[in-house]
Amino acid sequence: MAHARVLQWATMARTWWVFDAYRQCPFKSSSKIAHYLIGKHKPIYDPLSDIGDHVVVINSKYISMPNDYWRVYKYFHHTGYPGGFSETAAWRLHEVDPTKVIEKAVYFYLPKNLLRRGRMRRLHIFPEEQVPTEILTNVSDQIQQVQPVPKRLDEYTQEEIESFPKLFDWPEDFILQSGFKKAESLMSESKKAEAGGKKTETGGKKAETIQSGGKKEAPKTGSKKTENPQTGSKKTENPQTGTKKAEPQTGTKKAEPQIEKADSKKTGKKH
Amino acid sequence: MVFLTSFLARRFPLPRAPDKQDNFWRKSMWLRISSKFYGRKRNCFGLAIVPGWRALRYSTRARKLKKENMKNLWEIRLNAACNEHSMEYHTFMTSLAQADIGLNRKVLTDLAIYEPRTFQSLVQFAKQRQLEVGLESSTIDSPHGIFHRGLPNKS
Amino acid sequence: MASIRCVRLMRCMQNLLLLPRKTINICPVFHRSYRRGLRGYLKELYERRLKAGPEPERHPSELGIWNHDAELFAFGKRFGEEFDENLLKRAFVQRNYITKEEAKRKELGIDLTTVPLGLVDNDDLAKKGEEIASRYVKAYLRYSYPHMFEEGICAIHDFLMSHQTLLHIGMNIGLRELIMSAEYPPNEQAYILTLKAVIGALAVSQNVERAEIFVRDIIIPQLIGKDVNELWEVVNPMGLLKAMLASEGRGPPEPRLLWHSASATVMSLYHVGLYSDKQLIGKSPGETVTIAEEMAARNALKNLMQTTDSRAPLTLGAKARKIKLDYNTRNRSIKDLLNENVEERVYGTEI
Repeated sequence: MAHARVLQWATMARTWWVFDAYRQCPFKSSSKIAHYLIGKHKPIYDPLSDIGDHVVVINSKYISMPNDYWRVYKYFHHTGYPGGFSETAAWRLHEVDPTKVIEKAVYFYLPKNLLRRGRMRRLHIFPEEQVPTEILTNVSDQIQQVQPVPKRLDEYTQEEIESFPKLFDWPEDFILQSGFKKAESLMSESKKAEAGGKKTETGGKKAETIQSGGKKEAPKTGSKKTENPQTGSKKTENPQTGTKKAEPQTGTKKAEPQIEKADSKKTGKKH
Repeated sequence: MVFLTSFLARRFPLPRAPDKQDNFWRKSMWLRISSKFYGRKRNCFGLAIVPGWRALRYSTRARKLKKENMKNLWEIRLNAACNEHSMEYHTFMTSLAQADIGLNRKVLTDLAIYEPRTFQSLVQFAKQRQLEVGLESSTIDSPHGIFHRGLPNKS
Repeated sequence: MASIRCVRLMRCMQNLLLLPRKTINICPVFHRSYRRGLRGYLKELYERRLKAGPEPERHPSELGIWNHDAELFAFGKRFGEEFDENLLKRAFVQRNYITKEEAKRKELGIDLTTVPLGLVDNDDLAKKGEEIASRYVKAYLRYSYPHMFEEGICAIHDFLMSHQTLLHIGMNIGLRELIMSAEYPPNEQAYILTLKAVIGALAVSQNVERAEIFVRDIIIPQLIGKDVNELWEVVNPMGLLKAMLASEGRGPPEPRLLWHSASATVMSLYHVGLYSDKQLIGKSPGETVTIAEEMAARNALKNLMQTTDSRAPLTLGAKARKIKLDYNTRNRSIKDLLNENVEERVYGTEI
């Protein structure tokens, strides 16, 4: 009977998967991860059987929220006592625990039954790429990422930027949209930076509020990031904002979004 | 309500009719239904009768629901089985249907679980058919250097 | 509480008393009056039945509805066989039945020498039947698994001719009432002996070929759904595999880890493949590397002996009429294989 036994063992064995969450939407990822935790990728799936796999999520610190969800998306809690309501913005939660956003999302996507906690125990989330050896040795396969990893502007070589097809140059003083300014100012050209700083003094203050209040994106390499010319001097003073970076730039000619926000200032103070 | 005969009178028994007949048989009918219930509603007729009615209603509804649930389960399983071979569920089923292969979801699921090689050959057939029909894009292999196991081609 | 117990009692009672449903018609409509006393009556019957205990198992002849000759005739016809009437009758007579009958006559004061009993037991027929069955089963297995070792063939044969298998067959082909035994229901040995004796009786009544067809139709199908590799326990599969490969002039088996998962946990899974001359000859999963390797060796043996899970089904029924069996040649045995290897080795060293 040994033959039948090992066949069954192989059928019922739990595979360990690794998922790289680097610049992935936590909600789309979680839906996919939950699929594997439930075991819906197996032909022997049964809603009442606990046949799900293990999933190891790495780089959970570098997830990408869609739109301005870092600021807008809220996690609610109520202690049960009068006035016990509290809400936490996603950026704040992520700051406290960089594994929490993806964990809560997976917990949400799992079916609400008695198997839920057991399935969550098979989810191993790590903020960085470093994973303990005893976990990493179990891993034998990889889950496909849910979206292509965008390339930051500073990750392109100068050659690539220069060879990118360009139809025309924007005029020096051309403003695309209120609060947006042209992308070239992002480049580490001190002249333009200075000029920009002189032009919009108020813009600099806005940017500062964003940096402290609404965390847009957690960059992988904080040291490599291009400094925002307008707030470069102040960043070094504030350790909280030392690693902050604006929305990733997918194109060379896209302007950096600077979100003016009175609200963001509020939220920043609240927490 | 006037019953012209005793026959008709017995056809419409009142639940708690204070008649002098032997209620034993009527009660035993309902207690038979409630024999698997939990608690006092299993053995006490007064408590058993209402859950008994409800159980009959549920069983009526479940006759339809069971078919739907099983269909959904087979679809989930077949989806997983097809994805293991980089195939979409709907493409697979359509190919089989067009080729007059009369295997239903249940049989295909059983094949996928107990005879994976048979199922694989069916998938191969479906892929070949897609090629012949001219839908190559659905069966193109992954680009070189991309390793995946049990994942559909999305590239 | 009392009421529900009553319901169950009533239902059990219906079955126990073997009463037709009509007797316990609980619908009051078809009666002129309501049977107020029915419940008490049935309850009383039930209690009496409990007190009396279950009905003893009795041969239908005791109920007076038994025609032994007609049943024997029907037995033969059920299998589509023409039996000699007396032989078939003999096939069912157990030795203990004869002793019992003789004792009974002695008690009655009948002299057995003047009035002989005229009964012969089925031992001779059973012996003959067993020989035929055993010989045919082996030949058939060798035909079906030509690459299997003789030890394996013997193991499968032993399974088919085992007490358990023959008892299972005997109990399910309607021998129970026909067996003439001292006790009823007959004991296990009686079933087995009678089954063999029926085969022997068929061989004498018609011919051996006909008896062999009977064996093929009745005994061989017990292999359906069985894994023949599991019936034969190979103690050292890797050693046997090495010897097999060596005798074929192929390279020794090399295990390779194909895939593994959860290796740091107790739920670990390893897939091991065996290669010979860079050819995959077998692979298997396992809980540990050692188990997986051993199972891979077994898998390789299966592949070499052509008894894999995907092998062709057994030739049975109409197709089996055409096959011609060789009763004399035996399959290669492990002993032969080892001797070959030794000879080769000795030969090689001499050179």
